[in-house]
Amino acid sequence: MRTWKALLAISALLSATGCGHAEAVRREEPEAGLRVECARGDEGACGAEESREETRSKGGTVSARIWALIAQGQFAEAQVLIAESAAAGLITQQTAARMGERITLLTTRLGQVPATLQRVKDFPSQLREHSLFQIKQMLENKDFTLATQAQLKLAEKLIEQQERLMEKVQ
Amino acid sequence: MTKTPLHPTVEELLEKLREAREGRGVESLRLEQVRRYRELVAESPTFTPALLELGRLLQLTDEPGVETEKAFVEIQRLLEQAVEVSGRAAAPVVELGYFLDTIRNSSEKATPLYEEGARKTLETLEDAWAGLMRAWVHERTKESLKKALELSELAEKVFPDSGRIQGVVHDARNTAIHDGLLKP
Repeated sequence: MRTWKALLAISALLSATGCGHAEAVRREEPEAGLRVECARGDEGACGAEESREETRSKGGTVSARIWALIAQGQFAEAQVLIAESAAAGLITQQTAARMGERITLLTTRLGQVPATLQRVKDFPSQLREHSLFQIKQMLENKDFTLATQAQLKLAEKLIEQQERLMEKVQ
Repeated sequence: MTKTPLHPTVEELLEKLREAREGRGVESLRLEQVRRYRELVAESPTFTPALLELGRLLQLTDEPGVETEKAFVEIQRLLEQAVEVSGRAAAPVVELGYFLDTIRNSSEKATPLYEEGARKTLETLEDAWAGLMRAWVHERTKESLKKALELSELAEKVFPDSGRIQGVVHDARNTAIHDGLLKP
């Protein structure tokens, strides 16, 4: 019970501070990054939070807008806004990089995952040309015309697994 | 009398791990990397980092002439071995969970492993935060106490029933009040 309470508390806190990973609620404000860095004990992160008050209030709105664009699949618009906001100092370079990585992941097609992962049992090859974003949309809209729910779930897991593993083996 | 082969020293193991990691992230060097990891694992089958890293690497590696199921069996064996020899440490437990969830498409088998990994990570987080706050309280500068107070808020919410956290939060607040950083 204690574990679950703590897990839920962390999840609620991270969502509130902008570190939730759920697509629709994700917010990456500079404030959130600093809070995590501060909690982690990074040198100067806690103090830096105060001095960035102004950036935070401006950056928060822009950041939320960009995450919303990404969540809606408007990647080109998001990319323009990321570049402009980073250049103007409204979002940190780190946040801009995270946003870029998220776009890369969402635009990854199932056929782009490594060959080994494509050989899993019941690999849904008809989704090969579909991106993670499209697959997520089909799941959300319960659109099973192209693939069954189980196939869509497997496709989603495979694309996310390759991204996670690539990050680990770097 | 047969001479027992000597175990490699810690330095030798770390050097071999460093060698195995060479070329990380470079796809064209992956097969060579796999070969070096396999040698290391064969020589030191209880060396968790090598087991875990090889298990991950093989999921991204297309080895010519290796039958798919055989490759998956090897990966599962490596990850299960990493779980056991590490005393069920969080990282290998979660990695095995992802393997079963994705490659074996079994969320049922993965879920208890994710839960176990989360529970162990939380225990580590509780220890780390308590230690961090204690160090900041002992440092007792304006900046360190401010950091301790800020983390106190988060830590109390995440671990409301932890005596360790409550104790150090109490110390941080009392010290901050004593030093005039917080109103009594």
